[in-house]
Amino acid sequence: MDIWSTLKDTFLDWESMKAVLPEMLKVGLVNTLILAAASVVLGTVLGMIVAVMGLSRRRWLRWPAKVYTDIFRGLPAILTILLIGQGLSPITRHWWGPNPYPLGILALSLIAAAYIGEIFRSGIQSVEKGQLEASRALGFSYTAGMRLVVIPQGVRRVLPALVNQFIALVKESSLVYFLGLLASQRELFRIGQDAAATNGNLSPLLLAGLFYLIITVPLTHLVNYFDKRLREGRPADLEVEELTHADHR
Amino acid sequence: MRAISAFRRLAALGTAVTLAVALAACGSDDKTDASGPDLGLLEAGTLRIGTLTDAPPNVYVKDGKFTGFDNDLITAVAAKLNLKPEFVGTDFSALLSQVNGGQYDLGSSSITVTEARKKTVAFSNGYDFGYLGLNTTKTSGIKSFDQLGGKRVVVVQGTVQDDYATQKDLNPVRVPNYNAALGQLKAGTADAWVSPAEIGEKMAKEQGGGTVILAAKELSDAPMAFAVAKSNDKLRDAVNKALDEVIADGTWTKLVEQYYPGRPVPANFKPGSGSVKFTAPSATPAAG
Repeated sequence: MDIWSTLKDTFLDWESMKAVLPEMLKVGLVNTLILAAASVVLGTVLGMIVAVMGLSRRRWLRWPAKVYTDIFRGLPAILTILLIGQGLSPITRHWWGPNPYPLGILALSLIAAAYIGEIFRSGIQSVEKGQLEASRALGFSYTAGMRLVVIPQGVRRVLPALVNQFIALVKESSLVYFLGLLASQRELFRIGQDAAATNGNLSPLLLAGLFYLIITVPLTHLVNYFDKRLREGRPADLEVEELTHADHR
Repeated sequence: MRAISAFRRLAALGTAVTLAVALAACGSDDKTDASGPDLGLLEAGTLRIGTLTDAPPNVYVKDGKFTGFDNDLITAVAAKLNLKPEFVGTDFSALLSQVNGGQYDLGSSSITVTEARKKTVAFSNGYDFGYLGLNTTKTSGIKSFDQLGGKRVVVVQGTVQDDYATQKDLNPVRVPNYNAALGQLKAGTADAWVSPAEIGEKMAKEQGGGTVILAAKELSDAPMAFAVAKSNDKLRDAVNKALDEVIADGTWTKLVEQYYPGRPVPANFKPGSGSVKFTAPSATPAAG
């Protein structure tokens, strides 16, 4: 059997891709972005709280952060999503009805916070002790020194690792499907999967994959750009420097 | 302490933003006023139905709309009850617990009535019967269900076919959905798939790629029904009554002919309460 033509039939059928494209753009992409963006924001905020708690000198702050990280980093994402999404829904139903998005986002954020907390912690701990000592010597309090001097430097060092986590969130957002979605709430993967199920061809899934890449690849390059700029300064500064050198010559 | 309160403010802001975004995402739910008798629904006037998005011809999504035999039937039932149907797609493994947990008013997914499931949910009267299908590849040489011993058999987890394969000690491979089951056959990682015959037949024909076939069918004696929460007798009674109405007025017959053209109805199968008169669907496929 010709493997190439089988692959082409299964994954590269333009017709079935074209048929699902509008829905992919208008429904899938929007929902994936909503789920991912909301849990990136919430997950980062929670992650920073977990990191700061984990670094605290007070045991009653440090200890819960450690337990939290152990639990949410150790469970399969799908289990956490089912536990939070289905377990809390009898309570939250009275607040915002049976819409699974808020709880799905909460679950994704809680998972991400466990990883992001560790990323932030490693970044903050990598900042030389002297930085905090120097700020204390200048009269900063511990919290002010951490907030204004140590944490900003630590966060800068872990940007690439942080973006890894954001990319993971974009992909994990497809698991919210297990909580039950209206047709208009389906995200990229689900729309691809459903189209594949009705027309017997995996091409819509490949299209969904392309959409994921459209989200994630620019994200990596964007962070590399910022990372470089934070290390080397603005490109304009370089030009000025070269000009001054030229003058001296 | 200032740092902590700043974080707290940020956290509160983050939560608020998240919720706002999420709530906006759910769109405008136009609330209809309560009409008719109280059926213990999540939202008066709306029948919230849990179903699957990927199991044609029974339940699936086409052009952004939930359809299929079961879903068109429950839409007709809801119309008789003056309710607006609202479909929610989920995973079969989670469906029954979500119905019983009150996330949906009703589950619609060609659910076969079994004793084990009756412990979790209550069932309406039956509206369909099922054949177990034996999907396999042209080259496997498998012709009947009794040849499955020692073969690598795939089933969708939590389905009646899963029960069947497990009871027959076939040690089946469990996959999350029908698409994955078909994929196993096509890729040669499984020898056979015990399917719901209608789904297996349609998928083999349309998506089998010329290699997957439906080799055999076997009538399964349990009927298929809609699932409702055990605590909600009022809804179950109302659905049963409306189901008899759509059977009597010919809607059921029309849908059977539309989705299962040419499929004979076994002599001992009676849809609905059993006392309602129905037109037997035509056993010969309509032209075209």
